[in-house]
Amino acid sequence: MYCMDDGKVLVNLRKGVLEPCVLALMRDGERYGVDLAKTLVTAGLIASEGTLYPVLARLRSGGMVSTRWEESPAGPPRRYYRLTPAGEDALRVFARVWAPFSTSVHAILTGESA
Amino acid sequence: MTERAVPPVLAHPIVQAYLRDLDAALIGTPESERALVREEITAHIVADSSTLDGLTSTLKGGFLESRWGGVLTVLALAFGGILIPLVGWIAGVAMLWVSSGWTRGEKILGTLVLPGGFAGLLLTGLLPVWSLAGFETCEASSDSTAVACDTVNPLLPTALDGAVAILFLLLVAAQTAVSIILLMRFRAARLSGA
Repeated sequence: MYCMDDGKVLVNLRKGVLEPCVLALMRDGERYGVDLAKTLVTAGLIASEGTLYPVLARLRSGGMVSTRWEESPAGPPRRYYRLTPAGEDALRVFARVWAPFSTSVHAILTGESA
Repeated sequence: MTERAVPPVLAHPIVQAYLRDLDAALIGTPESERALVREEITAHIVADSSTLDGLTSTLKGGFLESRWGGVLTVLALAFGGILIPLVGWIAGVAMLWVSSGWTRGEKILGTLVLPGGFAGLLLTGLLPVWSLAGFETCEASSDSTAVACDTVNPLLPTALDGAVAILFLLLVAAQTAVSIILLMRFRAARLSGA
């Protein structure tokens, strides 16, 4: 018998929204990977910081983000991520679909739908 | 890019073990993605000293959730009862249920298929042979004046032996399949980070 708990719900929900959320965090400018990871862990969108990097690798392979290296005085060079035009398009599409979708889910869960 | 010294944190045994696990987990992914993940996680460990604390607590506090913990649990379930009758299998069940690395369904599956593991299987597989070896069947004639007895020879094939053999092989296959499934699901869960 399928048993639903908080962990399983979170795992399933994260799958659909993680990539768009990563893109959204770069909307205002390029971001350092470690900072992105910490932001997403704090927001509860990833369970551990290392989970982010396979997502970033997929986004780069898919042409959604580009990267550049920058020397760091306090350690190894840092890789910064920024949205590509394709990434901006993907983010726009997700935001357009997400708004009515989340509204519908909320309405159904709270019994506000007709 | 200029040649750099390897940061000491990367030589730490826990970090080395983690990076070996990571390399194994990345086998099969495209080369460009694999390189980025490896570089970024290495850089992350160097940049964030608290990462090592996290790795330490994960590896020390969760042996049963580690790769070898999962393998040990499955081996104990399958073969523990052979090494230490009953106790070995019970230890496997205890490890299975205590660990947070298994889902409830996997715990139930590992416990029910099969009780006692291969040891329990051997025991139940031999029981019919032992019971047949001790049987002497007797039949009274219609007028009850004579009784004919016959000893069943367990070495001779009978229909029952054939059915038992098929059932035995099916159970061996089930135990083997469940062990493999548990190992594959445990590995998949670890890789997904779920």
